[in-house]
Amino acid sequence: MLKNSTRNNLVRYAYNETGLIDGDQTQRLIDGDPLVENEFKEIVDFINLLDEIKLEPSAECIKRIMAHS
Amino acid sequence: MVKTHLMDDKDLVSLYQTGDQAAITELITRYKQRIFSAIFFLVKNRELAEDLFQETFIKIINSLRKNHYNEQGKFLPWALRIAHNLVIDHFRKEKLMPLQRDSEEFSVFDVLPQNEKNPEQRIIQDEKVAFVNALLDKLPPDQREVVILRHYGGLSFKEISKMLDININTALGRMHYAILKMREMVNKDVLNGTE
Repeated sequence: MLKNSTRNNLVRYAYNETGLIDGDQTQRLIDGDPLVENEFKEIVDFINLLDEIKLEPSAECIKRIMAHS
Repeated sequence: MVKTHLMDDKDLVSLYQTGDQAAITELITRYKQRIFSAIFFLVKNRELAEDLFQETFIKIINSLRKNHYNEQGKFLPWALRIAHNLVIDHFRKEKLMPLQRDSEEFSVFDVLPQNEKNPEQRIIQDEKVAFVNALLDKLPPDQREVVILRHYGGLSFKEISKMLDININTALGRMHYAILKMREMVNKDVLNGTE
């Protein structure tokens, strides 16, 4: 069972929000523990799933905004 | 001719304030997917999301014109804060719970990017949106909010913590619990009712 702080670090690392030093430490943790590595992979897989969705407003909506600008 | 797509947000804001329309066009192009997706997943209604998106940008334009923008280049968090406040205001006014279901007329095709022309791709995308929608729908509101703002809004956890007035570890914790919960749902196939 991973600690919450480890999971939080993995989430932050997956979103590229760690600094160079923290990022390096997290990567070492991932490389050194299969449990952590698996957890990280699952987080990234989920992020990739969410990432496949791209939505945008209609062209009419943009036109209405531009008319106001 | 000014190449607006190469400019950073701060310079685009300054350029728009000198009266250059191309600058606001670039800001809309740059952030329409993130801001619209965040609004859409919060309200889950295309027409309402479009109204709130439009209202967001009208507020942005009015603020820029009045020189009320002072975010030192942090355009997206500022824009998302405006959008988020408008969503909250809407539900307060209507006294509705957020995340109500769409009407039957709703088609996810209406919110997909215009370049998704291939019908097969659109059907696949339609299914993905419905799937993610269903996952998000089953999350507690505080976790869902963080997922939407981080993933679709593109805010950092630090920016989310500031916006929601919570500790950064709380924001990270909500995200990680949301991922755990969504993963559990996928593994148990709750969404297909085969649990």
